[in-house]
Amino acid sequence: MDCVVEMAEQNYLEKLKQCVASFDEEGVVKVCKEALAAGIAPSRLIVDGMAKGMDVVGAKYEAGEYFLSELIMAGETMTAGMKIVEPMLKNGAYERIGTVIIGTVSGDVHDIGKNIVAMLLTATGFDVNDLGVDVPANRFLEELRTHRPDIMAMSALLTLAMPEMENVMRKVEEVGLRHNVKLIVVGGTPITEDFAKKIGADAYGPTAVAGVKMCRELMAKK
Amino acid sequence: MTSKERAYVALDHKEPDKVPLFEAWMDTLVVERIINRPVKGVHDLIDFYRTLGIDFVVIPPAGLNAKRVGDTFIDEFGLKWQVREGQGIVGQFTGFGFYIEGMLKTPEKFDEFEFPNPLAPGRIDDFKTALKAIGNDYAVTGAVELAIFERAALQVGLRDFLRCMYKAPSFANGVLKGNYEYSLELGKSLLDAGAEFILIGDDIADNHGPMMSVKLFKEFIHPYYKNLVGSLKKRGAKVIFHSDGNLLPIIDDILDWGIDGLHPIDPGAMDIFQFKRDYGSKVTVVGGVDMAKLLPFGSEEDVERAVKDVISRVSPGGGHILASSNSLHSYVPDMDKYVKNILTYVNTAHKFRNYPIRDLGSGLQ
Repeated sequence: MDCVVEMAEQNYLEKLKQCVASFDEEGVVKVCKEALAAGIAPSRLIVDGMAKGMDVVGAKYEAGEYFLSELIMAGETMTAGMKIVEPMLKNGAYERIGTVIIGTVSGDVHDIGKNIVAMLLTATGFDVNDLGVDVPANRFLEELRTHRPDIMAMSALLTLAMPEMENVMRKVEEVGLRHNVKLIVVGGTPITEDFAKKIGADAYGPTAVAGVKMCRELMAKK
Repeated sequence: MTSKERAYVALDHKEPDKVPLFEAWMDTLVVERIINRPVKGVHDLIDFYRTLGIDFVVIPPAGLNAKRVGDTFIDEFGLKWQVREGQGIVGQFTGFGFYIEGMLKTPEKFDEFEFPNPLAPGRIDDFKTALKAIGNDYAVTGAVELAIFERAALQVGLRDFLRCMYKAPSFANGVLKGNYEYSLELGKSLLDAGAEFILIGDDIADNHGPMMSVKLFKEFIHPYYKNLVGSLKKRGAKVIFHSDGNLLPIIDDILDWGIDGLHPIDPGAMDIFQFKRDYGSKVTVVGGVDMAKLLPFGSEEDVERAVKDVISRVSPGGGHILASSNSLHSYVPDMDKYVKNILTYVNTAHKFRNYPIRDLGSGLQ
């Protein structure tokens, strides 16, 4: 009996993985509803079902098979599924890998890269607070002070915004908030590994997918 | 050779007398520093190019009928921009700052919208003026900007537009078609006015690759470009295509359009040395001077060395036009340093660009 139940559960999870990987929004909604009706834990549908589909998409992106358009489609598909599943979570909770604050630094309003990272981090099991764009240093500091997230992620597309990233890092040290966050990760078109090291960041994401993978790996070590 | 003759030879993938120089988009603040006066009109832009001895003189079309709303404005294509007084790329919308959003987010809004007239009075007056003034000697180039995909994505919103390519393909195609038709008519009107060189600008890629999948590119974008470039080439024009990002996943299709030059071979995404080796016989490479890090932050020695390096390694054999790797924008922390570096780049280029290229001993590899 347990075997049969387990197989049925695996079927649903596999279907959800496939729906996200193939951007089947209608399918993911249908399967989520059926799976919930069959009594499968909502958290499993997210972590072992839909998020696995995002992993497939991420791998194909890194392999040069998928592009920004597919990351967006996968994110939309998973969001559609989350709308069905999240209300069913007990106390709104499921096992999260960690908490993240993310924003594009002050002086820069580009957001597509940051939005993709935020979406992938959520999909992969992080609790993400997206601070938006043109985020002043003080806002980052306030978040560290008040919420002590596991990860602070900063994004910039403009070269001009790079000194601002350095400014935020300096202020974090100056006011003694470095210990309020486990990891500081930076990314964006002009950002390099050298620059990230220079300003004291813990990690640098050359692409959205690589950055998210790094966040998972680093959190697993902490 | 005149600049124009030089431009033709380089775009035929051969060695002219010197490596031609090219710049397309400069911020008002940069132009003003070079010519030592405010930018009021096309003659100031022409003076910028002549002061620096740049062979290609790119003249953008006029943006018309923009509606100012507080500190933003909505242009004739339904795009909303943040105003930055006295700043912004010279030409279309001097004084514009950041793109905020597009106003054509839905099929309904798009159906109500009417594309502006590419042939509206005043649209290419600046181009005609420049052509008359210096067109015999310089490669005066008409610009067709945000040509197809980029404006479509700005009109709808990039994320939503990419999604629509999957979920609402008729709508996506409709927006692309409208922009294609506009750009085609604008291109043809430039040729009617005597243009021999056309620059098409369209950011279709990021550092990873095209923003849309190769399949979507082949279905939605490639056919329009084959027609657009083909129409201009059929009338004898030389065509340079600009896009940021990594174009390698779609490079064969891009070359199939028949373009003569490709700008800028984005250093964040592609290696210009490798690109010249792999594709230099098929397309002229336009680029080589990094404007993201080198020009804003490098020392004068760094700039000199880098310019000598790219000339040594990319220019031999011809088929190279030296240019900055995107635009001379003004998002830099130290304007004085930046302008000094721009001048060093151009002066070094003038010093070492004669063919045959000798070993410049840059020491870089």
